[in-house]
Amino acid sequence: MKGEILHLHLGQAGTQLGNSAWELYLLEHGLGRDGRPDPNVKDVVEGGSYETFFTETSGGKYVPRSIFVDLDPSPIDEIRTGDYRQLFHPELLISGKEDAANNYARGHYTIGKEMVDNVVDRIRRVADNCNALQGFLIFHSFGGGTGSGFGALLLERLSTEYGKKSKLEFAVYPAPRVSTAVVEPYNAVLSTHSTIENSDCTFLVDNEAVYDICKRNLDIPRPNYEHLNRLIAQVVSSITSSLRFDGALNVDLNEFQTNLVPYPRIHYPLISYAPVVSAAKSSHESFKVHDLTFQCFEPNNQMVVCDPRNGKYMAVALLYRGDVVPRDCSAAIAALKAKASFNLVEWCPTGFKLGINYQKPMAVPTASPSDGGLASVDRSVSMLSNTTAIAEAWSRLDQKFDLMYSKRAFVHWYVGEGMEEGEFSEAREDLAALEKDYEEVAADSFEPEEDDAEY
Amino acid sequence: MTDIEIGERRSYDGAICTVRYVGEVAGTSGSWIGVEWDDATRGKHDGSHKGTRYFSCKSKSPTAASFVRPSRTAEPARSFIAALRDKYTGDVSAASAHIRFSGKIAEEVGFEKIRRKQAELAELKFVILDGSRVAFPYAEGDEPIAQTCPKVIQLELSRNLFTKLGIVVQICSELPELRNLRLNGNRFQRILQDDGLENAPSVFKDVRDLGLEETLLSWEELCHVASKFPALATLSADANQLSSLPVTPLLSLSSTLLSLNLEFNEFIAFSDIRSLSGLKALRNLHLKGNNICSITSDSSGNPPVFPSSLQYLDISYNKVSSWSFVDGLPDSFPGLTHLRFTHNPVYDNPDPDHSAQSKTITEEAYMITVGRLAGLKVLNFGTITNNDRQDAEMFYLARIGKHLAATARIPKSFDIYRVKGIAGKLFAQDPLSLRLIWETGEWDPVAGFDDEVEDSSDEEDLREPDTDTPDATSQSGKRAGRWVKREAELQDGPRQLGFCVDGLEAKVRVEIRKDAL
Repeated sequence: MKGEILHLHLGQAGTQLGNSAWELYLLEHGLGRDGRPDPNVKDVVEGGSYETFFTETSGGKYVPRSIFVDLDPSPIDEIRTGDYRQLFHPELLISGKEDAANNYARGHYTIGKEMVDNVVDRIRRVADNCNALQGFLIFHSFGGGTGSGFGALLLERLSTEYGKKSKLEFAVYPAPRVSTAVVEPYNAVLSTHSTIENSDCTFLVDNEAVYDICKRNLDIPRPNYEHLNRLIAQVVSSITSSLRFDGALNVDLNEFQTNLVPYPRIHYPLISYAPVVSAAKSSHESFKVHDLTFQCFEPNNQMVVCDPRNGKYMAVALLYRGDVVPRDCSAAIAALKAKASFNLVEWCPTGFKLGINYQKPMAVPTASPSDGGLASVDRSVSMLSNTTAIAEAWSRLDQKFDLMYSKRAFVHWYVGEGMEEGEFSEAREDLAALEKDYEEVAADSFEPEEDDAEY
Repeated sequence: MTDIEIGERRSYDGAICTVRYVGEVAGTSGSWIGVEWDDATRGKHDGSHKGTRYFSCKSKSPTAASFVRPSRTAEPARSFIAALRDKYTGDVSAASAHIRFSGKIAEEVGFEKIRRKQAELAELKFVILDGSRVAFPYAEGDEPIAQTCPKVIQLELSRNLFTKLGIVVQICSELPELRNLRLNGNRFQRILQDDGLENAPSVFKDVRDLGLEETLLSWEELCHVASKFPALATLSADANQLSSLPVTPLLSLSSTLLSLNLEFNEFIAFSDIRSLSGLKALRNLHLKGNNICSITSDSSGNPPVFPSSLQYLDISYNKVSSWSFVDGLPDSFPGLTHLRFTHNPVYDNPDPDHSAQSKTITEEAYMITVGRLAGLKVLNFGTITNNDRQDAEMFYLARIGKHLAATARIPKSFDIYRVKGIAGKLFAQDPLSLRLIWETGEWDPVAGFDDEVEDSSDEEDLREPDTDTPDATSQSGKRAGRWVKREAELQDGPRQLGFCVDGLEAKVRVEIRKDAL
């Protein structure tokens, strides 16, 4: 046992993502909807270590160590009245009265400010009850008001009060084409600027990439947010499974950073996941380790739209899960080596890690069998890679920001909430610097010659 | 090599086959083994060579069979225990430890620990031994399965070298915890005569999921096997070349089976699976990837009716090409609430007459499907909200209107009220506020037909009143000079349209009653 982890779910996206994630965690730990061990699945599921993610009450109930915050009351109210109302601690569901209206400034300054002390106070109380808090997992979106503004504010507070603890983010990144609010690029840029120093590692998830995966791989012609969140939850679960179950790679949060983050600012790994198969199963053969490994390197299975072939990998971690024997793993990597051509940066001595987690991936059984969740598969792989190609995502975002900001469009909404216009240009410059950082990291390495791959 | 028996299962370089023939082949020297490959695309013929048939294959593929020399070494079959040990406790070959990418070693973190953990066979719960050349439970000196891995819950023995199902029963009889058994891609022989199945019901008493995909068994055989599982809830019988399901005794299946997969078979109509209506508890039916194009194909024309417990139907990747098929679904599946219907000709091209942009086609198909199936709650994994349904139904009605406007055929037997009702729906007007005016296409004062008839529309036409009619009149008016078109209003009443209008085709103009405005 490595110490406890606290989940923070901020804003609508974070809250809904949290719902899906906890739904899956419960299944994987063999817990019922009220947090009590489910007697029906006892023989199927190994409980793993509950302590990292749950607090056990004297009544034998497991309460998620998670705090849900939204300035808008409705998403939290949905939890309070939903299927999992018995699960969460009511004091750790915090909702405001007035929403952030997709406005970073409202989430960060005016409305968020009133709320943040309350939230920090609750966090303090949870933290005090831990033996050894490892760190925080923060779920939020970059586009929404609460997610971007309040998320950034809370991270600032966390880094002053819990400077030494790891802070990992799962962030929903504005999709390249579809968006719900016109000011998403503003929020994302502002939020990135103010969190980049405070967060240790940020896993980006781009709604459009996930949407495309749902459409393409799951054959769901009209995916909705529930489908997207379930898929993201699978990814989150596979990344965190090593924290919850016996595995070898990344058994604590610090190790995530050590492996994946070569420079403090370059902390945005790309996630890929395989297999993505719909619950109404579509394949006759169980997926071979070899196939799964190759799938991970296909842009179609990535959670952010970008082309890794245009970049270089700084670090790659393959997390296998389920019925995977080391021999198959090694064979798959050997095959990958023979076939795939991808560049790793020169300056880094290591950078390719493999890990196996014996815990079988779980599908979410829903009330209706056809609800396009993921199929129960015997094995899965998630790949975390820190690649310079993700800079594409940043430059796309910056372009959209520039388009609007060159005309100062919509800026008044932010200024009206007491923000200074200077913060916009400052944030934009910071992002430009980030793009530059990626460029430099990629350029540092000399182009490998043809035969240079082995020595 | 005299010890090769017909029916033997062999593995050559990982490709599994069944021996169908041993002997000579005309035009060649020496003896051959005729084999049917499990992978039906791997072979060269179907058992006949240069016009002579030596054997026939179970698979219907023309390229399932080959001849191989008996001297070619097949990989040895293994015992269950040997395969289990090899997979979960085997050594990693040393070579793989030095894989490098751009000079960096691929680090295998904690593999040793995982290996140690997996090597504790007694703790294994999931055992997957597909394609492991298992043919028998024990070799000499193997320890009992019951002591080696007693905790197995899920067992996969797909694509192995079994010849008899009885062997699998023997293996499973030592696994008391077994819940899930997958035997896909095996070729069990003489199932109906296999006496190894006698004690199967007690062995399989807790097994809930069974996979028998790609086994090329007949439906009788499948049912014979499945009925040995007293608690079976899910049966997968995909890709078994089934083209119709004869009536067979379903025994316990009729009350336990909840989910049935019959994907990638060869059904062409729901009447081919009529016998499934005996499954009274069935909830999910997967028929993806068949050739289904109609509800019923037999002459009686009675649509099959499935129990109302059946809620979920997957008919994606079929050959449904008309919407009337969809209309018939509620009659055959009274309990249907969940449908998967993508990748059918009609879904990919929902409305050939109004071809839309390819982007919107799925939307259109979605709308029309939802509009036609009132009881549907989930289509293609997406929940249908009330708003969705309302939109879809509006869209559907509007589309009907468009169609009727283009090519409507109203039977002569409809009375005037009914015709007005249709017109009213089309133009979203109160039916009684409309006037129907029959444009006879005849010209007064000249009686009878003249050559102008050719110019009038060949189709029976219902058109928007404002744009079309004045135009037509002015044109023909020029040519016809002082002649006046003869028109007659169709009076409200229960008279049939046929009495009011002559001929099979008539042009009726719809106007809004002046007094109604």
